[in-house]
Amino acid sequence: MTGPDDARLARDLMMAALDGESSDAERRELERLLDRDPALRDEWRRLGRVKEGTSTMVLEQPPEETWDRYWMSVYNRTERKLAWLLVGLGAIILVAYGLWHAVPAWIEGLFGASDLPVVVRGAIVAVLTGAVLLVVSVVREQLSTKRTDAYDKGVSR
Amino acid sequence: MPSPGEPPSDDELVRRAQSGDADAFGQLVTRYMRQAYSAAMGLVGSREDALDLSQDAFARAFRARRRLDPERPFYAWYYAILRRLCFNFLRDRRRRRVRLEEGTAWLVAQTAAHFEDPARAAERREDQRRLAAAIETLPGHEREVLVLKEFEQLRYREIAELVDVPIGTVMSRLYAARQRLAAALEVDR
Repeated sequence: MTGPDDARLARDLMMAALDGESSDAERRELERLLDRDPALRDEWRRLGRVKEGTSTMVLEQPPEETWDRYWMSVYNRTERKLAWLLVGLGAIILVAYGLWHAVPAWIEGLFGASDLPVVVRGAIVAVLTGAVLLVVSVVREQLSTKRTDAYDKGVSR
Repeated sequence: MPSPGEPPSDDELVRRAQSGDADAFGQLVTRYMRQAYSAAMGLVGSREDALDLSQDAFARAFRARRRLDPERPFYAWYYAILRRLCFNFLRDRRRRRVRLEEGTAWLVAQTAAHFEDPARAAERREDQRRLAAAIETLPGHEREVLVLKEFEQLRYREIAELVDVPIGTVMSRLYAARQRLAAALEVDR
């Protein structure tokens, strides 16, 4: 090999030959390069061994009956997604409604003349603060993931 | 229009799915489910996760079917969703520091020829064990093209279309992957 272009050419010729995607002329060109470069010949042998190994392996397959249920399973997911969405939406509305009515009482309990023990007041503050922190953290992570995710592209064509 | 008895084309099924025919989408799923499973399996290396991810990707595609252009290849569109899910899954698994057991059985050897020399057969099995372990440690982009080439038997042009990179990039990733695998075969030999 004399330069990066030759190295790239040799690399492409070797890949194409290993994968059965080279023309007669390309195979002849590869032979010519191999004949004049023992190091390349050695690399070709090593790559050939890899190809031989991988071509005798197959991916583990699930039991055949898995395929009979496959589409139904996909369809169930789409239905459940909608169900979860409705459940989630309903829950958010109910919790918000509950909080709307409960929070004034809590505030009164915390800062007013309530008989709530200090420990319970502290616990309520801790739970509310923790919940806010969790929401902020999750939202920030989601936003950050979306911004930096190199694969979060291409869903729409 | 396809002639009677001929299976409907992808674009026809896409159009039907877009107009509310869920069974048409089901036919697309059935047509590509094995290919989708293999692609996911090659990336994540676990049967249950591959089934889960490939089904999740189909479910997302189903929900997004109205955005699909029927003139474009369905599988390439679906594959973009699948690979995003798989790479996100791998990233999360790395974060959780979960690793597959070395040389797990996600790759299995094809039945050897009966006439194979026992010493050669043992060497081949050892090579396969090392290769399976080394493939698990490949960078995601290299592993992806290797799997599409070796286990899905796609041509460079098809891989380039799915992964959305030039053919030269497919070849250079394949080369890099095979170099790493070759190094793994030669350790302690």
